[in-house]
Parts: sequence; structure tokens; C-alpha cells
Amino acid sequence: MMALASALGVTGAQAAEKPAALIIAQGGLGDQSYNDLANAGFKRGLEAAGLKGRTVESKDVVAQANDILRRASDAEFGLIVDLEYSHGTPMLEVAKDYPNTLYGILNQVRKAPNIVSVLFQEQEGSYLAGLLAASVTTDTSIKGINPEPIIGVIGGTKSAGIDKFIAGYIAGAKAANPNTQVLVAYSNNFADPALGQQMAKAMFESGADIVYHVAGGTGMGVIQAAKAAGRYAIGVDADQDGIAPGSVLTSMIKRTDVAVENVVKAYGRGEKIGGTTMAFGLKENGVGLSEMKYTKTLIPAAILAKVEAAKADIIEGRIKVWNVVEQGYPDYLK
Amino acid sequence: MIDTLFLVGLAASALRFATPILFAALGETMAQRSGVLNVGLEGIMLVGAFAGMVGAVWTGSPWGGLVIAMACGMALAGLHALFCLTFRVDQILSGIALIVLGTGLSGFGWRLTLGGTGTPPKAPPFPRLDLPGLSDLPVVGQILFQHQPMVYLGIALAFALAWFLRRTTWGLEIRAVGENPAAADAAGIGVLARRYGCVLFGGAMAAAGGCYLSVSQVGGFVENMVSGRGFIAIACVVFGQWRPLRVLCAALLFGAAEAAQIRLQLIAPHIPYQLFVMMPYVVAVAALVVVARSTRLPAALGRPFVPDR
Repeated sequence: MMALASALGVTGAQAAEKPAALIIAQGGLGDQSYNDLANAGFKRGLEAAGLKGRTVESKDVVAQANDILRRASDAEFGLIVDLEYSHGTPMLEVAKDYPNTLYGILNQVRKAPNIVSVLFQEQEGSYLAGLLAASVTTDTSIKGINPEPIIGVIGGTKSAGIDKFIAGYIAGAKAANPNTQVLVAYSNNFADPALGQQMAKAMFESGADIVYHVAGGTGMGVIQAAKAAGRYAIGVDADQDGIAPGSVLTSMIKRTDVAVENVVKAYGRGEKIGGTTMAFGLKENGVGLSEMKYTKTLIPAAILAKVEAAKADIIEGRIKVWNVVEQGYPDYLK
Repeated sequence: MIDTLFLVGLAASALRFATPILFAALGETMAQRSGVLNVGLEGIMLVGAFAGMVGAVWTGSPWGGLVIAMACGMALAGLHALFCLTFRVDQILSGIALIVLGTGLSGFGWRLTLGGTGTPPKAPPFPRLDLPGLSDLPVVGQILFQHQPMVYLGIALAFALAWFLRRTTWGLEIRAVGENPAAADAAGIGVLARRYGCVLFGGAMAAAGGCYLSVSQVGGFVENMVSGRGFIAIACVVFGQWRPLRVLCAALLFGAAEAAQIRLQLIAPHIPYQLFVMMPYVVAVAALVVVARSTRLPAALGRPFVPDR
């Protein structure tokens, strides 16, 4: 095949043969969220590209960034996709020493000729979640909804990466109803569901009836609190609607799987993606709301139509949602 | 925004935050009164959270989960007792090993059992235990009498242990073993047997605290979900000066600080939230400084007992 290609004088793109690796982030496989989702896309990508690959897990994934990356690089992988956010800086260093290996990093831009950066437009999906929540929160015909225009959001920590979601959510809520009050709180911990449960409970007691969580495992407790109180949670990253059917209004899905799948496929086709940034927004199906399998029938059709219209507006560029990472903090979230 | 409803929510939430810490702290109180330090509560609580969840799903009952969690907690604590009491390994080292072991076991075990199934398991929850008449009282009923059974069990346990240590022969023997093991030994009290018993009890209680988090409060397991409560529990033992009722107060104070901080975030969004998140820890440090002067640890705490014969 290669001989044929060279005989025909075909240059440029050559299908990759070296296996691919996926470095798993903190929280590990089995988190029913970020890592599991990415791994599903990784497997699909490998299958489509006809490549071999494996996942790399480590107990001390943050502290041993250099070791993990170098070991994977020495192991003759052609592509190393790293899910751990804190590996961005170490990757820059390691990538210099292995110019023939392609690296992929998520949720940040790292400039090197053999690193492909993957970004998600989480603010776009969160905007839709906020729009939906603010529209639902005053519709008392829906079970468990009070008349007050109050909704909530719980972030795992205060950082641009998390506030990107929160700013989009608030923007969407204000677009639906400028009088909406959005309660914002941070758990300061991504793995404390008992804390998340008590935080959501406090928000429900303050008049909120829908609480969005951007807090990983802490969010498990937010969903549990919604179920116990007969109110609603909004899930994040993966489709979490099924965790408590009927109590999760929707989930803001970040299609890490779509992104990883596309990176693996592009690598498999031999495309020169090193040094580029791949952005996944509503348009690329990289973010979006869940199909609302259990709640669709509860929500009035007019509200769902409004969400669809906003989605189209964002895709067509008629609405530009504030991006905290690129634009800094907006006035409504200082 | 500060009104009756707010205060009721705050107080009830303080009780819920306090309960897992209370269980672990009461168990640790007994272990330390007998002279054994176990800094590995965090690891045992994690195993308790994991085993309780798996046990509840497998047996179909939250109580089944609690029993299995306590059995696993005793197994881990038994290891600690074996190393510290029989092999006389440094108690702090053994405790640290327990943290690492418990973290690994719970995370790995979860993936081998229920975590790998994709859909989150449904564990049968503890029913809310409403007390007829009491639960309907305004304010007081809402704060005190609308909880799950483990909340009441924790408070009852504090009173029971206070009585046990002070008024029973076994309690006296345990105190003697922790203060002056040589004298206790001379009086014919089995030092190692008492210590083994207390460490095993401590393990069971720490695991029960973990089980409360997973089965009673969240209805699920997340890796590392204990999030430092095992260490706060140790601080509560010191702050409570090794007395069960004071340990109860310490746990409640910590719970109240945590319950207050999440509410202050909502009331004062313009103040950096880190200030509020810090609150429970500031309270813990301040409390320790206050009691440190008047504190006397069990005299034989942390020292292995070598029979003199």
C-alpha cells in the first residue's frame, strides 16, 4: 500500500500506524462523566481509524505529570491524548523532546508544532441551560416549580474554566427573563457529594427551584438534593438525566467523546493537526443540551422552541455568548 | 434573607454535616482513651462509604449496608491494631498507611463492583424517621426531628459512651489502660484486649460515618468523597478533650460552621467565597488553640505497651 502510494507519487497525508494512548485525568475511569465519556470516544476513534490504543491511569496523575508523559512517549505511541488539565505545562516540555509524537490537550491552548489543542465552547451550551432554566422557573404549571424567578448554579471552584460555564448560564437566564436572580456558590471541591447536596438544599430553601452544577462528583449530591426536594438539577459534562429520572431537567453535555474521536480519526488519516486548535461548540456538536428523555413532556413546547431558536441563533452567529476564558469576566460575574 | 426559615435550615443542615464527623470522632475517642492513636480515619471512612453502598445494593437494605460497612471498618482497624499493638509499629505510620490503603481500596473496589456498570446503582435509602408529634412542631420539629435514623443514633451514641466511660467497670478499665497500662496490667486488666476492642470499635464507627455519607446522605459513591472529614474528626476529639459529650459539641460546631459558610455565600455574593470556605477550618484551629492550654491527653497515648515480665 505504501509502495503503491509512493509509486503513484502521492505525498503528504499518510495513514498513521503507531498506536494511540489516552491519559486519564483525576477522578479516573468509572467517573460516569468526563473520563468515561472521553474513553468512549477514544474507542470509537480507534475503531474507525483501525488503530490500536490503550488508556493510561495513575494514582498520582497530577504530581507525576512528567513521568507519565515521558513513559507514554517512550512507549512508541504516535498519538498521546491527555485528559488531565494540569498536564498542559509539562506537556510543552516533553513534546519538545519527542518531535515525532503528536500530543493532544483539552480545554487549553498549548502552542507547539506537535501539540493539538482542543477547546469546547461550554458557554454556548450553558447559555441554553440558563435560558431553559429561567423560562421554566416561573411556570408554576410544572410540578415542583415556584413562582419566584430564582435559579442557582454551583461551581467546583472559582476559575476562568468554571466561570465560563457560569457566565454563559447567567447570560442565557437573563436573555429569557431579565429579572431572573441567579444564586452562585462554589463548593471548592470536585469530589464531595455530601457538601453538594447541602449546598443545593440551601439554594432550594432560598427559593431556587433549578440548580445547575459544574462541580464533577460534588454534583452527584446536587442531583440527589433535587430528587429529595422535588425540585430540579441540571447535569454537566455527561448526560446525567438518568441518574435521577425526572429530577434532572437537562444536562449540559460536553462531548469530550466527539472531540477525542475526531482527534484520533484525524491522526489516523495522517492529517497535520499538530500546532492547531480544534474548537467544539454547538455547531460542531461538541456541546449541547441532553435529549431530555425524562423531562421533555413536563416542559411546555413554547419553551423548548425558544431553546431551539436560541441554539440556531448561536450556530448562525446571531448570538455571541460571552467567553470568560477569552474575554475575561463580564460585569454580571465579577 | 435571615429569617426563621433560614435559621431552621441552617440548624438542620449543621446536624447533617456533623453526623459523619461525629461517628468517626466518637470511635476515635474510645481508641485514644485506651491509648491508641488512629490517624487513618479518613481511609476507614472511605472504605465505609464504599462498602456501605455496595452492601446496601446487595442486601437490598440500608441497614445491611451499615452492617457490612462496619465489618469492613473493623477489618481495616484490626490491621492497625495488629501492627500497632502486636508488632508495635509506630502508630502514626500505621495510620498513614491506612489512609492510603483505604483510599485505594475504596476507589478500586468501587470500579470492580458497582462503579463499572455504567448506570449508577440505586441503593435503598434510609427512611426519614419522623417522630409522631415531635416532627410536626414548628421550628424545633423541623430542626431536630426530621432526620434520617443515623443522625439520632450518632447523638444517642455520644450520651451512651459518656455514660459507659464514666459509670461502668469496662469504661474505668479502658481509661486505666490509656493512662497507666503498667498499673492496669498489674491489677489484672488485659491491656491489649481492651485496646484491641477500642480500636475495632473505632474502625466500626468511622466506617459508619462513611456509610452515612454514601448511603444516607448522597445515595451514591464518589472517589475520595470523605474529603478530609476523617481529619476534622481527629481535631474534634482533641477539641472535645476526649469526652464524648464535648466531642458531640465539637462536631456540631464544625457542622454549624460548614452550614453557615454555604449560606453566607448566597447572602453575600460580593464577598470572595474563599473567605467563607475557610470558616470551618478557622473555627477548628481557633478552637484547638483555645482548649490546647487546658488539655491533657491520655497519658499513654501513642505508646506501645510492653508487658513487664
